Amino acid sequence: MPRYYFHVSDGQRFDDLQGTELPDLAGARKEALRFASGLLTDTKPDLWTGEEWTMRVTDDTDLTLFTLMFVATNAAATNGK
Amino acid sequence: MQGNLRNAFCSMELLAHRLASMNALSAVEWELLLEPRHSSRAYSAGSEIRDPGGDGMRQSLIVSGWASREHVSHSGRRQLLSILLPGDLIGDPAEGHALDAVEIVALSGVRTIGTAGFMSIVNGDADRYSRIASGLSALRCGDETRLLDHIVRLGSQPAPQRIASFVLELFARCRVIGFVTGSSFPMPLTQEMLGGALGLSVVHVNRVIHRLKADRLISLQGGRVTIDDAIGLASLAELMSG
Repeated sequence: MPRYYFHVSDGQRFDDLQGTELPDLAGARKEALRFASGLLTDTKPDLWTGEEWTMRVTDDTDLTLFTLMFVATNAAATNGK
Repeated sequence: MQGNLRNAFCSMELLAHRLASMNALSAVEWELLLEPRHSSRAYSAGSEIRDPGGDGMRQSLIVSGWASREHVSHSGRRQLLSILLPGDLIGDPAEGHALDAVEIVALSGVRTIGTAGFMSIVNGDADRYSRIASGLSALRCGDETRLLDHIVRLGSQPAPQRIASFVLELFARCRVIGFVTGSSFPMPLTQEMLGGALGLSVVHVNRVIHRLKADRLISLQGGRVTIDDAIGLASLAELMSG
């Protein structure tokens, strides 16, 4: 099975050096969403202060296969609260 | 997959340690528990532990290896409901307890011995074996309590706390059966198994363990976990529970 690497930048950088074996790209996409969901749930509220959250998924040649990005934008009505 | 029945010396020593950790056992009770058992069944990693009955092994005791109670969804995703260690009992599904009806899978090579005869002796002489009987009842309550804790872990705890509390639980359980050396204990679980147990993706498990190691809370080497900072690990588990 191919190995996929899930590199995350969410205020601190996490380079996935180990990777995870998954059946195919569809499996990698599914795993990425599951991982992102867990991380976003755990994460400190940096996302609400404009910190960009990025997950870059690569193959074992470090070729980027897809990227997930999350940005939270507060509307003016919140007055920065 | 049915395991292979073999003749090999086994005893209920680990179960005896678990029972003795709750109640001081009488000499007669120790004698019953430490009686040599010659029939055991071996299972390879990944195989289902489902004793066929008829040979006194529908109820059994894990004497070596790790297993899990599992639910496998239609999509093939495995949810590990609880981890079974040496010294843990597997009940007879026919007795109607929900926990005993769940599929049990060997996570490593596992060896079991039948306990039907033992249970029959204990239940047949309640006065003589009263502390064993009360201990067995407490062990079942402990199984259920751990399952409730696990539901809370899965439902409301962030990943670092899930892993920290799970490691601490395994440490405590291994200590009772004498598997802890210093502050380390064996943990033959892959990150995939941890993910299956804790409802996390494999990469998420990888990331949290990476952080726990970087923070010098735990270290992993050769299938063993060492708790380098027990207070810090416990604080992590508790601090994040709010």
